[in-house]
Amino acid sequence: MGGEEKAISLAPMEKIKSRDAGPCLVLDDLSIDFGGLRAVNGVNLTIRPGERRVLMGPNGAGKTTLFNLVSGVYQASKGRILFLGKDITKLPTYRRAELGIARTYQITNLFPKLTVEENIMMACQALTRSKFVMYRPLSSYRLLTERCHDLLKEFNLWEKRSELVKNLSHGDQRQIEVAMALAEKPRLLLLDEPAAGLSSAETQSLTLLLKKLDPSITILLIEHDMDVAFEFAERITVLYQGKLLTEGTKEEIKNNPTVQEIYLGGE
Amino acid sequence: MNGLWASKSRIFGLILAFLFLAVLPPFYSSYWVTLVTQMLIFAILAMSLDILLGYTGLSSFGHAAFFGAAAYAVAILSTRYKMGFLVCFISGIALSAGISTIFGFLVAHATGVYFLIITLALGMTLWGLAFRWVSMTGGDNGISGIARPDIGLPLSLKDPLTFYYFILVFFLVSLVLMVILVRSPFGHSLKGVRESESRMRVLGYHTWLHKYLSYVCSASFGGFAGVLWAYYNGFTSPYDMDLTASIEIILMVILGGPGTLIGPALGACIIVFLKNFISAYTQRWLLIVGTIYILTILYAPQGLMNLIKDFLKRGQKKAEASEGS
Repeated sequence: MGGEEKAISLAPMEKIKSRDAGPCLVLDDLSIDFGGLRAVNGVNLTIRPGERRVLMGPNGAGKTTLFNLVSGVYQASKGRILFLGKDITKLPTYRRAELGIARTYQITNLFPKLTVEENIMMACQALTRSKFVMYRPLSSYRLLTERCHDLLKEFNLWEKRSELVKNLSHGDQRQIEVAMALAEKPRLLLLDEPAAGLSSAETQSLTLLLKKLDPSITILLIEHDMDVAFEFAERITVLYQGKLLTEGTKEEIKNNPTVQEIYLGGE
Repeated sequence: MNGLWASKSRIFGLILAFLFLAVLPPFYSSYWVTLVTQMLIFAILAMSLDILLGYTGLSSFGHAAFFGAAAYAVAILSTRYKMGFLVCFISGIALSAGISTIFGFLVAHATGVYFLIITLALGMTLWGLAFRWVSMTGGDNGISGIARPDIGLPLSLKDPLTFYYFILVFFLVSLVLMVILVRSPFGHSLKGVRESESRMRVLGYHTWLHKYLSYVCSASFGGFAGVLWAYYNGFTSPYDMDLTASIEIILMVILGGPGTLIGPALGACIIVFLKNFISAYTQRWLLIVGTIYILTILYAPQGLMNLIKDFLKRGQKKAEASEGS
């Protein structure tokens, strides 16, 4: 089993620790064009390690596009992205995941015809070298299996582990989204409206779970639900039409007249 | 209680397979022995495509090319250069694997219809090569006179029954290898690529590499089947690797149930049987293939094996329900 221990290379914390003093994520004049449309327009953003930041803004503000830029789904047209001091602007998606960036999707994106356990397992083995092993059964990897089972229990999915994901409720699927992102022990967690479509009870338990997360994980959260956003965040960034509108503490955002006008409808 | 039905039916299936494949063949007529031998070879071929089609979710329209390439390697080496079994066997698989490592660079970027079209085009280039490179391949006439291999045992493989058991061993070896492959972490990652490639990338998988390796594995096992086919048939021709051949393999996989390995093997047996049975009555074999294809898509889109699995699951639920009441 010693070989297995060695084969599991978790997020490369040691390599990066020396840079921990600096910010976790820096967006420097970041822009992307889709044809004539500039969906994200010159956004500057600095997030320090361990911060809980909420990204707000009306529909079409460019929040999800910003996530796609940071996670590498889209390539930036202009500007830079620095993660723990390293320029990742040109890196492919999988390399960013290896560095410790995990994300969830606003529109659930799982492996529908696999079981819950198989879904979580996919995330558990994603950053290990064992994902290329062809001669040994997956079930024989004890550490991976244990980690997977821990996550299943933590997210109350243990009873449902053998069910196909497509047969689960929307709420359970949202849970799996978060569980898969956490399975990778990320340094930066991008949560794209994790509470979308959840009942208020489900939302509450999700908020609780997010609050309990390891404080060293930096979290960037897109959220429409004010209660979740204000309860969870230390600082809030507001995007509007692809541009950064304002940034500040809860009170500052609540009392900002422009934000009230465009986002809260001038209440 | 859970899984008892499944394990019972699995044991039943194993006993049935053991009976038909290992115990009963000495009692078959020589026609049947030859037919079952052919079924096993195509079962390997169908399973090899299942790695790509069923597990990775990439439908290749050029899989027969690897089957044919390996068969040609055996044909040329054994007739022209009088090479022994081991050299032919290794060269055949190496040729298929080698071609796929080159083709892989062209196909692994694509998905869906684009993958299908590129593999079709590449498969046809190999077919064209077999058809037009007359000095090497014999062109339309193919290469005949491939003798059954001499494996250094006192048994002669010219005897259909001995040859059958020889093929059975290779079938079992390839089955075990492929089962190990799909149950490994790598095999697991292929299912992820099938289900959601975008999610896989975000999780940290270099999906291109997984698709590439899957393509090479699939082609290598296809070559494995091709080697055996050359020895079985004693003859290779461009028709072993034309579009019709590729479509037949896809049909075997879809009919049997993609992503199950055993399903495509079952599908291969059915198609080989029907092909031999029906061609005794009519020349219009392709018409029948088309009909089976349409019927499968309409009534069993998940394939026979998944149909059986669903049936067993329902049976188990019923059993559990009656026990609970």
